[in-house]
Amino acid sequence: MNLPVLILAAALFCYAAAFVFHLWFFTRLQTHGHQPAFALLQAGFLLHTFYFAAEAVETGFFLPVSNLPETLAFFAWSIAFVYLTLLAKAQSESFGLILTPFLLILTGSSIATYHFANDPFVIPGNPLFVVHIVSAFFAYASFTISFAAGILYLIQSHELKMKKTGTFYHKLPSLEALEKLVFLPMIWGVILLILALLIGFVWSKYASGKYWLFDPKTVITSVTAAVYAGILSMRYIFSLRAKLGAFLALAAFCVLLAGFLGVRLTGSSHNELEKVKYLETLKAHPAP
Amino acid sequence: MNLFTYGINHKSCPVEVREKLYFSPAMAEAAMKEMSGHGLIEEFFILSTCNRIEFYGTAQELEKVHEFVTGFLEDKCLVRREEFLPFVFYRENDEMVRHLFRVASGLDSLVVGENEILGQLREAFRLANTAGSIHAFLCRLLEKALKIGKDIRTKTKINEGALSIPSVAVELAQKIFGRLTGEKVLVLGTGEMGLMTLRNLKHSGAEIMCVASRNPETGRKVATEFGAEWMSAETWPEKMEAIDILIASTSAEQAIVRSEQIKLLMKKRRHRPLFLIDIGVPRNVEPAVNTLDDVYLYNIDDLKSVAQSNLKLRQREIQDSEQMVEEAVLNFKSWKEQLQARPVLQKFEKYLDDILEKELTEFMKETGLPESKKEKLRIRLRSKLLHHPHEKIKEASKTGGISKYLEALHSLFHLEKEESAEESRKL
Repeated sequence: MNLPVLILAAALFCYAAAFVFHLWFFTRLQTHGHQPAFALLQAGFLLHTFYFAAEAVETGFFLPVSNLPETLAFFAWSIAFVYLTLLAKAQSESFGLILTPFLLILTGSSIATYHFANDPFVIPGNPLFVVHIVSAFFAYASFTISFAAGILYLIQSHELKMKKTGTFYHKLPSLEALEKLVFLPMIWGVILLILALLIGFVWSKYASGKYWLFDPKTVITSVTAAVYAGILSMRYIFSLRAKLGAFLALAAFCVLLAGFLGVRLTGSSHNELEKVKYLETLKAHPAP
Repeated sequence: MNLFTYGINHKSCPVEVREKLYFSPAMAEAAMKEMSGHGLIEEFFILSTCNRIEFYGTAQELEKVHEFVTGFLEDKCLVRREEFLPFVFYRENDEMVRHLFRVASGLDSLVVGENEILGQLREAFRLANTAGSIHAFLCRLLEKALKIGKDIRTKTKINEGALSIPSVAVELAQKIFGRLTGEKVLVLGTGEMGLMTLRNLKHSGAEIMCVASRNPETGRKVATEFGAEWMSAETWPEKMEAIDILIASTSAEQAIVRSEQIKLLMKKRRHRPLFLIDIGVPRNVEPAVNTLDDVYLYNIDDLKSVAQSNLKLRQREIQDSEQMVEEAVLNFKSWKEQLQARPVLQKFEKYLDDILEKELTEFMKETGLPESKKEKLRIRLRSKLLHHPHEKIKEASKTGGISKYLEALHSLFHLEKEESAEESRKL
C-alpha cells in the first residue's frame, strides 16, 4: 500500500470514529457531546487534504479527478470542506450524523477501488479545467448538504406536527435553521454548477468547435442545474412552502445522483474509461 | 475544621414558616457581620431564597452550633423555636459539603436543575465577602460549589427542557423559528396563563404585537404593559397575516379560530410558519388546524405532555449529576484532609531538612567538595525522600486514611504533636 492510500485510510478511520461519536452522543442526549466527533471530523478532513498533496507529489500534477478512486475521494473532500468551513456555524450532532455516512461511503469506495483504477491521465495544463472540475464538485457537495438538511427538516417538522419530543426533537436544529441549510447551499450549488457548465461550454468550443455536444454528462448536469434553479425560483418568487422545498431538494438530489452514477455506464467523455481517448483527441486541438 | 449547615427548605417546611424566617439581602448581610464576631462560629454565610433559608459555617465545637443558631433565629426573626424546629435539618462535614454541592447543582431544588439557585448562591457569596464573614476555607468551598453547579449544567442536560406551560411554549417557538428575534405575537384573551406565556415570549425576544380582548379596559392595560396594540374581539383577524405566534386564552365556549380561516390565511402569508398556542378550555382553536402544512398547533394537554417528557429527560440526567457531585465531594474532602495534614508534613520536612543540613555539612568537610554541590545534593535527596510520603498522603486523603500516616510520622520521628494540632486549628 502506497503512502497516499495510507493517508486516505487514516482519514477514513477518523471519519468512521467521528460517525461512531456522533451516533453515541446523539443517542446520549448530551448537549456538547459533538465536540470530540467534530474534532475527529476535522482531523479526517486534514488527512484527506494531505492525501491529495501526496498524490500530487507522486504523480507530478494536481488533478484530483483523474480516475474513479480520486473522483470519489474528491467528492467526499468537497462535502467535508463545505460542511467544516462554509457552514461552520451549522455544525450539530444531527447534521454530523447524517453527513459522515456520505464521507465514509465515498472515501471507503475510493480506497476499495484504488488498485483497480486506471492510471491517472495527464490533462492539458489549463487552469480553466481545474476551475471547471472544482466548481462542479463543490456544487455537488453543496447539493449533498442541502439534501441532508432536507431530511432533517422533514424529520423535525414531523416531530413538531406529531407533538413528539424524543431524541430528534431535542437534537435537531430549529425548522428555521434547517430551512436555511436547505436553500443556502442550494444557491451556492446552482451558481457553481452553472459556472462549471459555462466553462465546459467554452472548453468544448475550443476543443471541438461546438459549444454544445450531446454528451450524457453535459445533458444530465444541465438538467440538474435547471431542476435546482427551478426549485429556487419557486421558493423565492412563488413562495414555495419550506416543507415542499425540502421534499424537492431530496428529489433533485436523486436526479443528481442518477447523473453522477449513471454517466459511468454511458460513453460520456466525462467517464474516465473514455477520458484518455477523449483527451488524446483534445491534444490535437489545444485549448487557450 | 468542622463544617455545618442548619436550615429549612421547601422539602419539609411549609411556606408559612419559611416566610417568617426569610432573610432579605440587607438582613442577611447584617446577620453575617454579627455572626463573624462571635467566638463559636469561625466562618459563616446565609443562603436565603423563597425556597430555602440555610446557614453554612465552620466551628470548633459543633455540639453547641445547633442551639446557638436556633437562638439566633429566634432573636432575629422573632419566631418561637417550636414553630420552626420540627422542620429544621442539620448536616455536618462531608454531609454539609454534599448538601451545598447538591443545592448549587439544582439537585435539591423544587424544579430540578433550575438555574436561579446558582445566581442566588453567587449573591450569598458576595454578601458574605462584603460582611467579612467568610475566609479562605468557605471561600474555597463556595468556589467549588459554584464550579460544580456550572459543570453539571454544562455537561449534563439537567437544566434543559422547559417544565412550565409558558416556558414550553417558548421552547416550541424556538424549535420552529430558531432564536426569537422579533417574531410577532397576538394574544386572544387576558387569562393569567396567557399573560405568563406572553411575558416569557417577550423575554425571549418575541415582539408582542396585539392584545385582543372583549374588555377594553383590561385589554388596554395589558397592551400597555407589553407595548402592544389593543384590538377588539371582532377585529383581531385583520392582524393574522402579519403575526407568527398566536396565543388563544379566552373563555369562549366554541372555537374562535377556524381551520378554513387559517387555510386561507396561509396562502396570504405565503406559507410562513404559524405557531398557535391554545391554552383555552374549552379549546379556542379547531384541532383540524394542525393538519395544515406549516401550521403548528399545541393545546394545553400537548404543552403539558411536552413538559412531562422534559421532566423525564431531566430525571435521567440526575444520576449523572449525582455522580459528579460525589466526585466533587471526594475531591473537596481530599483537599481538606491535605490541608489539615500540612502542619505535620511541614514539621516532618523541617526535621528532614535539619538532618540533611547537618549530615551534608559534615560530608562536605570530609570530602572537600564545593558548596554548590552541597545544595544540589540536598535538593535531590530531599525530593527523593519526600516524594513517596507525599504521594501516599495524597492517596490516603481520598480514602480517609490520612490519620494513620500522620500518627506514624509523629511516633516514628518524634514530631511535636500538640503544636501541630494547634497549627491545624489555625488553618
